[in-house]
Amino acid sequence: MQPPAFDRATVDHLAALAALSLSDREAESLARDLRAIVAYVEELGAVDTSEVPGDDTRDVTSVAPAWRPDVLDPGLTREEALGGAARTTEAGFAVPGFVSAGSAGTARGVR
Amino acid sequence: MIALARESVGSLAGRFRSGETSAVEIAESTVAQVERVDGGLHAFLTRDAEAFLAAARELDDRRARGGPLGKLAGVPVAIKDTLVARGVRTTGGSRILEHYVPPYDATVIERLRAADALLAGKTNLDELAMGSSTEHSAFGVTRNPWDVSRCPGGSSGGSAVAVAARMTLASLGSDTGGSIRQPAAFTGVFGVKPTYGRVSRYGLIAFASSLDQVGPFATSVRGAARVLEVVAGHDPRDATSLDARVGDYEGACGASVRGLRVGVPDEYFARGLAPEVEEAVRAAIRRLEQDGVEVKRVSLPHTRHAVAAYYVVATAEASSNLARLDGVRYGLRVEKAAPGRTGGVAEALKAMYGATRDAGFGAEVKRRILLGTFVLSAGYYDAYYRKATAVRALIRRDFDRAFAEVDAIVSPTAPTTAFPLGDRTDDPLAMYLGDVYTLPASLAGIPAASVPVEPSPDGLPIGLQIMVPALHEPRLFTLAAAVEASAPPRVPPVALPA
Repeated sequence: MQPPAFDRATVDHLAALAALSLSDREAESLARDLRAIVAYVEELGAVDTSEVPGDDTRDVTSVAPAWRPDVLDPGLTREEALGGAARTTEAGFAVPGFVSAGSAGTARGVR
Repeated sequence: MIALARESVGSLAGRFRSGETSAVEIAESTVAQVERVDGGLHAFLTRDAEAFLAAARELDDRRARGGPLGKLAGVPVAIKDTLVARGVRTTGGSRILEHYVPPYDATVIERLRAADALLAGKTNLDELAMGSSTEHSAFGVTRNPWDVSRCPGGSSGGSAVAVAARMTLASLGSDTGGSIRQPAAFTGVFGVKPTYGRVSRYGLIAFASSLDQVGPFATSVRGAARVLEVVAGHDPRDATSLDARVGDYEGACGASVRGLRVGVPDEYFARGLAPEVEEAVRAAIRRLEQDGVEVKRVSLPHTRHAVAAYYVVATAEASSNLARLDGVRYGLRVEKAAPGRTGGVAEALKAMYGATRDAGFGAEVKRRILLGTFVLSAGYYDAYYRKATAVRALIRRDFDRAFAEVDAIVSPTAPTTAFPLGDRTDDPLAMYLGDVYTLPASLAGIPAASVPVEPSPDGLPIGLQIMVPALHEPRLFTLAAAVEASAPPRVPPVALPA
């Protein structure tokens, strides 16, 4: 498959997916870097991987990890958990509003 | 005062236990050495000398009462600033965590505390462990004590330099694609990346979860063995932690290498390897042969695809892991004036995420997040991410086949000696290609270490990499100790007592 052109539009699309706001200058220089790096990793396309079953890509080592008992463990207190946040309310982490006043009732109704 | 340049982890622990010296004297000597040399090197990001000395006093009191003493009692250990410690600022080398004070201890920190190690401070690194020179830290570069115009390698550059300059005789780093081994090679100390899952990742700031592994640096092979014995072992809080017995790593350091079969892969001595590195590494292999090791040529044919596979897999995982750094639960938060109503109801939230991450992340982290986002995106996932995981499986099979014939594989750790600061910062691909020898063991999840051999003609350290099958760390230590015996540790002049 052909990679995208890594023009400004591609970088803006990726940045939006990654929740990154980039300045114009940054976007230009990152586009240049990505072009070079993706051109390099293209070589993977030429490797014959037809003998690799999907299962073989699942684990890092052949040593199986251990299960743990499904029991409750004491975690952080609410105060500790909220202690590092820039903005909190009594109830939890505070973020800028993301439902408008008009749609709040509806949003709450959808579970 | 204790001349730390003349001690090791074992000698310090022994002198403390026997009462020959106090923990306070050790701690004061450590602080003095840091204050004398770190101004020019910048290994440490955060130190709390008061807490450090208080812990030492407590240990002295316990010894006076005849209380139990742990395996690392009285031994100062420096910690890469990507491992969280309760109440101690943990930045990950990033602006986004500049003021983050974690509410809990990483499992390895808990285990070091339980073994009575003295936590000496948090060390510098490439931002969020992404880099090979420690130049991508948001808080300034760390310099190589052998030549301060050169980088110490990375990303665990601060932990390597803390040990190389004898500020502490052991430290912890993390290794995703060589971040312990390469700085160990560049600074002339011993460093190990254990088997994937051997050491808990609980409390390690995640970079690439299928590759990340915590491991020790030390001035001696035995010192690192002792630290690994303390931090290794099953941890129910890390789902990838292996439930396997921790070996007698320190004991393995004295074992004979006679009869061990060691493979030398052709692919690691190819174009791009500096002649002085090749010469030093081959000389060390010849000395192993004189010790009775059987040396064989082996082939790891997919080695040349390791850089491409790694930079797809690792960035994909990073782009996902780093999504948590969004300004909501901890770390930096940047809120700009709310945009107009035209943008839809979630615009203010999205703007907060975007502005926080733009201000909080440096260029290399953004580069990797975007690359990882690309290789996982619709239409490209199969061609890049899925393909890279299949190539990774082939790299692992290369090792499986080779280990059917040999007990260990040795190679150079890095193709060059430490490069000058600024040399590769404008060329990310050149920086990535320098990781070519350390990436395969990371992709295969096997243990690998870098042990110093004879230096280059201009005095710069060179490392020999030793790779063994999963969970065969004892064999790794046996071989490393034999290499060390033929090229005893050197101390950079800057670290010697004035």
